[in-house]
Amino acid sequence: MRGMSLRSVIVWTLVALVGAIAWAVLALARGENVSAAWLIVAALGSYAIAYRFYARFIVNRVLRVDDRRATPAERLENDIDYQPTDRRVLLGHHFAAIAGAGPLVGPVLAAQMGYLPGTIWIIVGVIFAGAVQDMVTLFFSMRRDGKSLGQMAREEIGPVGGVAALLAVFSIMIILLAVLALVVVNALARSPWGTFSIAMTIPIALFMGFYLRMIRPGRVIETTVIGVALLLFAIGAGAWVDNNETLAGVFTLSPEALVVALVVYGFLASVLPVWMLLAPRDYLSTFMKIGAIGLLAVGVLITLPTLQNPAFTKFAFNGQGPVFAGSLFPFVFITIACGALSGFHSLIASGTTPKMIQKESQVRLIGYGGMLMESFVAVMAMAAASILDQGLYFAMNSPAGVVGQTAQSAAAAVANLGFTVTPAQLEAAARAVQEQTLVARTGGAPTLAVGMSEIFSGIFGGNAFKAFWYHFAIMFEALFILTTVDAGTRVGRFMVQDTLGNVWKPLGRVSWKPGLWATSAAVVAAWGYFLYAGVIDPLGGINQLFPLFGIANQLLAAVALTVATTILIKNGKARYAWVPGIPLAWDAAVTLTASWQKVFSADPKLGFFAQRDRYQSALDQGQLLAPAKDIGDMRTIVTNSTVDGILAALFAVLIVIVILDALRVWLRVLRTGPEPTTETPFVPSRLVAPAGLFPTRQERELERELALVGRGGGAELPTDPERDLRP
Amino acid sequence: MTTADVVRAVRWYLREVTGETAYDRYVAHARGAHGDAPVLSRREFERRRMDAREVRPGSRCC
Repeated sequence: MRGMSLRSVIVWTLVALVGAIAWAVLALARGENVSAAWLIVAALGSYAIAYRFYARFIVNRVLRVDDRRATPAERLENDIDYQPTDRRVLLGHHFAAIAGAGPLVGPVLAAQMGYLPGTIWIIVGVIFAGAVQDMVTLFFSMRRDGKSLGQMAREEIGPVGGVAALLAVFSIMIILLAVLALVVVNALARSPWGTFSIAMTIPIALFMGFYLRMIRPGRVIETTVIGVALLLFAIGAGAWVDNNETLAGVFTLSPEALVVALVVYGFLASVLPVWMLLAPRDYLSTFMKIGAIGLLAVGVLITLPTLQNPAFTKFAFNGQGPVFAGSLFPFVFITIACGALSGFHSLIASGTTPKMIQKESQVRLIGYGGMLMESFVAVMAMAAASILDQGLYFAMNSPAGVVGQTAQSAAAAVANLGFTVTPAQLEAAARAVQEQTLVARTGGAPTLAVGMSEIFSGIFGGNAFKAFWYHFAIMFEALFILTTVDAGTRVGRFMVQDTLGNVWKPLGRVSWKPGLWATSAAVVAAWGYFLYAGVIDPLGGINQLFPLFGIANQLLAAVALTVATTILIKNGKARYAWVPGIPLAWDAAVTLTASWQKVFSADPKLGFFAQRDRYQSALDQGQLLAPAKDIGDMRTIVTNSTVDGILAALFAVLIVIVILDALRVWLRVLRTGPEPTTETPFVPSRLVAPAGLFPTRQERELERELALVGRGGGAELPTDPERDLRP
Repeated sequence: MTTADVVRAVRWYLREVTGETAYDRYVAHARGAHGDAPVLSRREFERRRMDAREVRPGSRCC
């Protein structure tokens, strides 16, 4: 460590020691009470070291960021999308765009194997895979004026890789929207309180939209404060709706009715003007997201709850877990995508963010740092799920096909799984949060909400407030899932319009209404199909669809990491190709193993086609197999497992195509030598801005110097453009 | 750092993050670069800025 002061050495040694102790406690504790605080300490210690050393190594040696080079935001500033933005503000935007329900849902499901496998993957995965992917994609896109991942795949790998990447992006979008919508359906089904308060977000958002458009243009903070106040009032009013028999009846919806409502909402929201619904909802959900996540972090640190979940459950080894089938490898790494490695982020890191960065060195804070923040959210979700009683956890997260519908059947089924919970305890838990039942409330959101209500009520309001906090948590998850559904439908629509526009021009025109409606309807129908299939699936939709979502997300990560590896090799930096190359190899191994098992496994619980054969042959003989209750159920299972199996196979083929096509390019370059760069040529920068969250002393002095000649931070360099601004 | 500093910093951050300062920046830019060009009213500016989002909705991840 050249140039490291003695003080730095001592501080970082201490950070490493504390982190190592926390890891030792988590890993070695058996049968003792482990505090959730150790999860937080292990995470923060590891993040700090990774950010200080590994991210810095990548930025300085591998990417060689150059602050003398102007970023696209500086060169192409246009007041629309290219805008040099303060790094702290951009970090906020980037984080709000990448983090949503994903890091909250995956860890809850993975908790069925114990807290340790998921926690290790969340922390080690983010350090070596997820944050690396986000940062290098952001950097490479920034060096190419903010090109999208699809464009980069086409230019760096070739047309075949490009088309495969495009297909991957579209299919993950559809599966993602279906799975997230399914989480909402499972959280709101037969819950008048939750359904009422989510329904109220629509008039609240409409009001905010009109207020912002007609009455107080541009006053976003004021509008959002009014909106949040109305929102909290709506959550409170939910209790009253819940107690009123007529109203409770109106807002008690079956899962099927919720699917129809969501599909109609998704279509309308995507064809209405942005200002009416999407924008105000986005403000609300961002505010709630930051607020609730901050509150959860504070809550865990203040209450320091004890983990009930052991480090490992038997499901980690026998692969027979009821929440999702399959063993630890590869399914923990598929189930937890967001928070450890999320391919979807590469779309954002090659979308709006690279067009707003002031200085190249800021990719470390925004790309790597932003992803560490998401990972921290995932660790807290793991903590919230692991403080619950194990019997309650399995009663909530096992599909109805396993635990039935009643507290009695659930208690018996949970005992079969090897955990204990009494019917009375299950009923009391449901009563405490004013829900009719907590049995088979799969999808992660209700479990997280129970965990959060446990933590929050320990600080504010006590037991009397448990129901409020539960519905608060449900509300904030549903709110930003609906925002994702709305924005995702639009993004999917643009992709369809773009592609079909090549075939028939009018469809490509963004302003042609019939084309807009038709393509919107097509996208909504696509995710609506999977949503409906998930809702009516007798085997449990989350159980079936979540692995597909994970595989699709990791497939996109494979595309992003392949593009990054290819660019490094082409630029003559093959000796550093391992930086994205190792996570790529890991990701490919995980995803291909998972797809292989989902396609070829002979175990009908795991393999989609084995499942199909089992039910098809029973159907041929006119028999019914549990959990199917009639011939219709049997047919549903056969259809769903066929479609899911084909998708799993398609995803695996796409990955193989992208990697093989890239391999061809790598071998060519390694034989013939580096190729001319595809980067935008160097233009000297005249902007000055700090690299990290907190300015260094030199950066502060430079800013002060500039202020003396009348320019503040982020200002243009007044005199000598050749001056070396590297820290 | 005094309380006033904290309040000022939070206010600055919120205004920047929500895009409330976009109009101020636009006015400063318009006056500075093309001194005599007409400057849009806030209502008109915000309306155009919002409508520009129509063609680039921006992904929201999971």
